[in-house]
Amino acid sequence: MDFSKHATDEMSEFIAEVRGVLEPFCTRERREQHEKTSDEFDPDLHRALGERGWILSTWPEDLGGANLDPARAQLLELELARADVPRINLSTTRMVASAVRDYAQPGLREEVLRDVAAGCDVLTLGYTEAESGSDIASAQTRAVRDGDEWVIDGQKMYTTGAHHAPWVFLLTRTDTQAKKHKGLTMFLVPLDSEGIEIHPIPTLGERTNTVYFSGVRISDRYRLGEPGQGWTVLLGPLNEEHGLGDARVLTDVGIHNSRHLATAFAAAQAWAHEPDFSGSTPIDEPHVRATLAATVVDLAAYSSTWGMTGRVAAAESYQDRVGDLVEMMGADALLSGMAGDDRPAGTIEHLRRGSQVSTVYGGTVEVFRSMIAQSLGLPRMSFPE
Amino acid sequence: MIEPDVFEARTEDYSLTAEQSDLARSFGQFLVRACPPERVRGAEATGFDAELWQRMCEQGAVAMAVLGDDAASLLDLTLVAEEVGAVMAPVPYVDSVVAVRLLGRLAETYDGPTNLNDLIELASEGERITVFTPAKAGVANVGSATHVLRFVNDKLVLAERDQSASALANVASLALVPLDDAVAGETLIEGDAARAAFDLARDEWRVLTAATLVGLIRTVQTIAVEFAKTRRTRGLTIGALQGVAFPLADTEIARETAQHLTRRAAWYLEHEPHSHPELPPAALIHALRSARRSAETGVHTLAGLGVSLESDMTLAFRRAQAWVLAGEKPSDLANYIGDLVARPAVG
Repeated sequence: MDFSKHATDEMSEFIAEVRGVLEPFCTRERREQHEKTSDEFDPDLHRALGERGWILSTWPEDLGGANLDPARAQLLELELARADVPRINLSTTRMVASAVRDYAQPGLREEVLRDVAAGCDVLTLGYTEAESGSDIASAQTRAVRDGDEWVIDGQKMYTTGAHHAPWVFLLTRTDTQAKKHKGLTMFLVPLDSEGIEIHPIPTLGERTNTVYFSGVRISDRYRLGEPGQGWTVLLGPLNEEHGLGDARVLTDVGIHNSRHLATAFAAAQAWAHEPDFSGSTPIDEPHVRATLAATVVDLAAYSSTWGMTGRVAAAESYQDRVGDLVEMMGADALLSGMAGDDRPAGTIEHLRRGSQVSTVYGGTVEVFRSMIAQSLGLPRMSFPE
Repeated sequence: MIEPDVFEARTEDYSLTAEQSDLARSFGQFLVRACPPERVRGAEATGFDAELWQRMCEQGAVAMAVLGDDAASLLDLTLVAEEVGAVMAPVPYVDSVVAVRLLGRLAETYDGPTNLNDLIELASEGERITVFTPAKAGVANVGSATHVLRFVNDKLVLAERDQSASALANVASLALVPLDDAVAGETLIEGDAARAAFDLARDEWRVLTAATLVGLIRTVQTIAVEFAKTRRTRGLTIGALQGVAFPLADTEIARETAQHLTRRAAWYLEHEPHSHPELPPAALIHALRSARRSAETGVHTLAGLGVSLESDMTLAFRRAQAWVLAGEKPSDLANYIGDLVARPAVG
């Protein structure tokens, strides 16, 4: 049991360096631009991080990482969260980079990872389809072998980042005769290939996309792993995305929701301490104290686990508590806001919209509850398929 | 203002050492054998099982908490408290270990009539029962004690009470008695020093009480999951139905988050008591709601059996709120955190 601080003098130099790198990306102009596009992506920031090896921060330097120790890697994540800069594509890029490293054919691997590590490229996830979300393995997007090439037909939904990324980590069905999980193959598909159309999907939070594949021809060099091995190749990032295992992995999703809630709390607490136009201070009101106290309790409780329980708890508490903070702040929290807003109520408004996807992003809370129930020894659900 | 530790760069290690696991296991096994549900029922009239307490003291349950070179850490005590809660032992474990630690801090400088070191020794042996209660008024769970440490009018007071007075009938079968029957004996310390000593003891009481509730959730889970795995309806075990399985999954989320937060709060209270003062009350608030909801789920899952007094589930349900309410009001816990939020920023 150990919760001691990492910070030492060495670390404060590193923190100062990180803050120096992030500062130019936190201007009001940039914030407004991000809110307008809802991209959750800043290519200049991504490149600035990549130059220092901070995209694949814990990877060895010869693979384009910075070989950061766990303490510095965590510090970097915390500073990104504290600055509340766009960072959703960092997560997906890191997830897929591992699969590329482990399964891409040699020429492709070096090409992709070099550019990803440098921050020039972003890797996006092509899992979900119109008819398959939680049931990922029932994907129907087809890839048919034709000599040295594959021809891809189908559609992916909620492919966040596809409109500015060069690559999509694509789940396809290559064998319709094999059992569901066995007939899958993963590809890294160049998104500028002929036959690909990307349509925006605006959401409450970040903008995402539908990607249509019509007779898209790609070389076999873009295949990751063996034909039919797709489920294994996909599981690597998926397990990282679920944050399964003994320690909180760097890509653990639950902690992102906790950090968003912590950002909301900080904004709301600052708001509460400022006298309003009538000269009274919200923190003097019992209801305001009670609402903020409830947020403190949820933050403390639901940041304390990872894996499946952390995913469910952090996502739901994030939604519930930010909803309460909106009501606490009143109509001001309806006025359109943005990340890192000068107005605390604006930050809350932005986070309120962003929080609603957290109970389905990367796995629904129902899926996780089923897994938790199974871990208690309750029977697996049986399905009619 | 509060700065939650979520944004702090810290190690996040919830693992137990081999010694800690052994401690939890050995007390756990001892208590399961020494305090089966029949024993809990047997003591419901008074809320106190003197023989069980004697045996626990012989195992060193109180002695290990006495301050000194060999003292158990607060984390060690939370592990034992969790096992005490899991069997719903009708003994004043938390109140006693907090008391001996508080007495130990005061004994160095106190030179009043009562020899505090003697009192500590008697408590360790189970000969005298000295408890700490954070309660300020009303009824409190001190019916088994001869001595009660309480905070009254800015004074930390060692009050004596008539041990023969009966507990008031209550749903949780605790040793609940009117607090004012504890007649003020000696003022051990007063003013700011008294307030500080009381605050620390109260935070320890909060963390250890939270730990007992984590144990209670485990027991609720054990009963409910076993039932859901065996009870059948329409060709299925009921645990295969999401409407049954999901609330049970929630008891697991409750158990894990409450267990982790309680242990983290214990660590901070021991190692960095001033960094995150919000954690002990947060741990207790969270443990209370986790235990209450889990107990409600447990009763519901067992349906008719769940509300039957013969079921061990009702033993747990009746205690789920009581262990907190016997010492503190949840609103006071929430206000404590609210006051921390209201503090102006430092610097």
